[in-house]
Amino acid sequence: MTEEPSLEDDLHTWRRGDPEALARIVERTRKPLYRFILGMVGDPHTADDVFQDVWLRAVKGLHRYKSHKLLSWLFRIARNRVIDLSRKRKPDLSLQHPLGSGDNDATLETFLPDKARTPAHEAGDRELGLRIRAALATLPPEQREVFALRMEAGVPFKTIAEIQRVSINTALGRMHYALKHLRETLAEDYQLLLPPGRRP
Amino acid sequence: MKTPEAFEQDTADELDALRRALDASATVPALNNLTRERIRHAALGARRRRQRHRLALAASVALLLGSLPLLTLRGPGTPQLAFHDHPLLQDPLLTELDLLGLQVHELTRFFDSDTLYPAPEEFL
Repeated sequence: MTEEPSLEDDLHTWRRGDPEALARIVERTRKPLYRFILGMVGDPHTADDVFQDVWLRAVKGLHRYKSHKLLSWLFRIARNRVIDLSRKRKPDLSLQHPLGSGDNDATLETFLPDKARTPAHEAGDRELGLRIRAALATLPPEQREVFALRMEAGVPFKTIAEIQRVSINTALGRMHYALKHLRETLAEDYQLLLPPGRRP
Repeated sequence: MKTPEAFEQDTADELDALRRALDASATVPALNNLTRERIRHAALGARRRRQRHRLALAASVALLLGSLPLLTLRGPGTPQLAFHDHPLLQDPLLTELDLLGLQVHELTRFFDSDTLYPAPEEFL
């Protein structure tokens, strides 16, 4: 049985001239990178555009990059693209601002807990996930970034600290504040998320 | 402040529940052909640019080799020459081949330096 080539192997193969190896690298990094971008921008279509833009930039410097740092480097390109995008758009983070494509007239407010509804009326994990994302959109970018890197992309805190160029304690502190914000904003939804007695 | 491990352990139930909800609400779409093609095209462009630089390097080396007879070489008892202040040049036993090696080394260093290829940081 032949082992699947590692990311390092693919990078090496691509540097020797095999274009297919690049396609494999893009595919391998797609899920964590896309999920991180989605966690930051909230909208799948924008996430797709940013993902493509990240790779169009990355291929220009990819031949020089150390493979074990590749994903961290891609995350850093992505976070900078997201920051550029938010500057260009001057985003309106008001709760009534339309989220854009895919959700018709949905706004952030649409996904925040409706006081009149009980948890029994909630539509399940998918809707909860959308509410979480809507609540995250109101976080400061550096806290949202830590949350998206850890929870969407599965990046360890040590790497998050490297990507943000802060100490691990700062990264942990940002995660702590992000969770606190979610607990407060999604107060009722937390009853669905966690059984009684296991809530923080 | 807690360690990352302690933090994860203390909030394990909460984090697991949040992850489940996030996973359920996020589908990662397959890479579409247009995106794949654009990335492939950009990579090819970058590769061609690097190849052009390498060709320029090869041409420079060839030019250097061609002009070798015209270079003033240092022989025993002759004054210090203009090429470089490299300490090896002080060696009276330095041969023409050594000198050529040094020149090629310097040229290679120049072409490999960040003056030609921007550092990856610049793409961030």
